[in-house]
Amino acid sequence: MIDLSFLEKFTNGNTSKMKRYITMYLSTAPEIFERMNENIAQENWSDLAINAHSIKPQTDFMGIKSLKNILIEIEDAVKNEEYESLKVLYQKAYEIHKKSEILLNDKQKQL
Amino acid sequence: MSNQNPKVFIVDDEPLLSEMLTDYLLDHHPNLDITSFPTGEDCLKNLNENPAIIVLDYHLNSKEKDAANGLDILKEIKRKNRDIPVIMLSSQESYTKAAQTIGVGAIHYVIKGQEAFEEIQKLIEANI
Repeated sequence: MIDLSFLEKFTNGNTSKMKRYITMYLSTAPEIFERMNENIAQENWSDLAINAHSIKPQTDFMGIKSLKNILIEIEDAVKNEEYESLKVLYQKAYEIHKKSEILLNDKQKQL
Repeated sequence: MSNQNPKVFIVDDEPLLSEMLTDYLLDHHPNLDITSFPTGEDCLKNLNENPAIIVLDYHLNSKEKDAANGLDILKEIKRKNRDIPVIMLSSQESYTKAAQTIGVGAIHYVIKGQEAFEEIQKLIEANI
């Protein structure tokens, strides 16, 4: 689910840098998902798209491709006004986020 | 690069990207003087420091709803000093947005992602 090969290459294997980046991701991602959850509850689709958009590059750096793809689907669904699919897409994104969070925490401990 | 310690402004509300970009640029050019700002307003307040180049995110209001977006900040930078090169950053592959920012005076529109770091580094090398 996570592929840290980009981060390894980017840091030239510098584990302290990798840990710092993973820590930053783990400290910001939950906030963004919390905001997305509020957006879903309030049916605030435009803010949902903005929040999905803002976390997308970070998931790319952490190599969480499946999450990045769902965030793109959320953005596209808002753009195409396909609002009925958003709750399911968000739930899928949240589940991947929670699983990847555990894996990143484990990886961080190993570094 | 002609300047000894060129000043680079990075304007992005995502701390991870700002941090990674700063590290990447300093790894390649340790003489760069890099400052990061989470909002465009903060960047504008410091424009009198005459940055050699600005890397500016298009979407600057994901956290601060009242913050100005990158396009408005770009317009303001260009109104104050047309000569500062500005690289626009976005995670959205949009020809319209790219054309819009180039039309206002950005030198390039870079898509955020794994390739963005090298692309920005090359653009900085070519423009300062």
